[in-house]
Amino acid sequence: MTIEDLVEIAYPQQPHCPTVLILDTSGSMMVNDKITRLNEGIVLFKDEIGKDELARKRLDLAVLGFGQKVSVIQEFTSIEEFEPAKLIADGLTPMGEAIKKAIEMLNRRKEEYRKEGIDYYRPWIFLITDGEPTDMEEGDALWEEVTNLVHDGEKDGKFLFFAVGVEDADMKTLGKIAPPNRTPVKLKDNNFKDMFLWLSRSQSKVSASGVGEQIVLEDPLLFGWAEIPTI
Amino acid sequence: MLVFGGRRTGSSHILKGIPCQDAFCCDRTETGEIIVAVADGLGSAGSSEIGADIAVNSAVGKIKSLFHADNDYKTPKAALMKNRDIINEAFYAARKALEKYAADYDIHPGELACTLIVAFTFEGALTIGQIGDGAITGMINGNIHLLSDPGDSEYINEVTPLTSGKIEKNIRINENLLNVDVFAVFTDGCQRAFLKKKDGDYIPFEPFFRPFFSCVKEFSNENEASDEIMTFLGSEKMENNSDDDKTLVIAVLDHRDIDQ
Repeated sequence: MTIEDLVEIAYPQQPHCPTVLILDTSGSMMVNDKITRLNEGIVLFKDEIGKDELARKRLDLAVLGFGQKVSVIQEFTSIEEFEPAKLIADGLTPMGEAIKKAIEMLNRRKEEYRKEGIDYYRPWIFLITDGEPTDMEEGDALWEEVTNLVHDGEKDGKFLFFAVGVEDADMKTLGKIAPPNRTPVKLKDNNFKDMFLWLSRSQSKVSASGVGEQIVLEDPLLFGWAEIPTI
Repeated sequence: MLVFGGRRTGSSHILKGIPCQDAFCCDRTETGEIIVAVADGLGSAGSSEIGADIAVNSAVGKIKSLFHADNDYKTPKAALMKNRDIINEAFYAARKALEKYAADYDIHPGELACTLIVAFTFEGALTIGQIGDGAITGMINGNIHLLSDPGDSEYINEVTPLTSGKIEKNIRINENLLNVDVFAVFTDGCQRAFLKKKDGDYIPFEPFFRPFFSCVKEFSNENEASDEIMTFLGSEKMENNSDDDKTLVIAVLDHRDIDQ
């Protein structure tokens, strides 16, 4: 008998790659049909991840929308189980509460991973907005809480926080919310398609990375979907 | 006492044309004590396979030299040292050797980044030092124990290598473990097959180790035993579990019929 015949080995679940999309679904997303493009981008994202064998197994996706209210559009799920719901643009921009909710969901998810013995990669939070927060302003309590959560979370390695401004987004305010080391980028020509293509490729890279492997993300500017904001 | 093992290039490395970045070295002191070192080169470091090789050889070489009696009184330096200090010396020697290589070839030491696990026996006690992931499990009085764990890095693809920070801050030492019959040292490519996580803590996977340790204790020839380990590391079971490089070294300490 060989050693292989004699032993059983552990088959832990695939490591998870948690990602939260925080999407602006406020009324202004109707202008220039941004909401339609956003919906199409999400479908493309699912398809692209679905084509990658490892990313398909490892990506753990949650989607939050903020418009009329902050709503969990999708609790954490595998990309195979993810059925993109059609987003409707309506209401204001409660961005602060949405970010808080995303971080809470991430912390809870990490707790579940730990309990179930699931290894995981550093989570990604990806915020897309075409406006400015209507539920907080610089200096108020929610602002302080949210910016501290984001800045400390990124600094302490709890997650990577990416912010993308669309069209008339207030890039100056977004720049203050985003971590100082990760300046928000501006979506060029409402090119949601290429942005989600970039996101899927980046997630594929992360989910295939081994121990100690440095991930070099493709430059969003060179990829063609982003531009440096002119504030 | 028998010591044997093997390493296999991971299928993902073969696919990308990357060499095996794991390395191991086993040796004995003049009095027959066992020394084992295992290292795993980091994927992000350009020459980590060289780093891993240098690290294991310098660490083992250092311990061997400390056990060499080169003075008139025939007392090796190691006999006057605490076992944890012997481990520390091995890690400093490994780090120094990496820094020297980096300087000689004008590269950043980070290009040689690797993990390192070192274990040696002395007068019936096992002492272990570790920086980075991988692990050591062993059997003590019939029970299987995790003797050195992979560390508490939160994320699966992040690890602190031998080349980063201060050794005294990053090293985890487990000193003077008694009654160890057999122990296994392995890199993270084997980790998901050999260990389980329970409430955030690693534990040895009993259905693997119990039959495995019983089996390896029956081996009487180191070369044949190493061949068996190589075959196992390349088996379908292991390949399906991880596409990473895999290294596994075993030492059987209560073995009396040595046939090297």
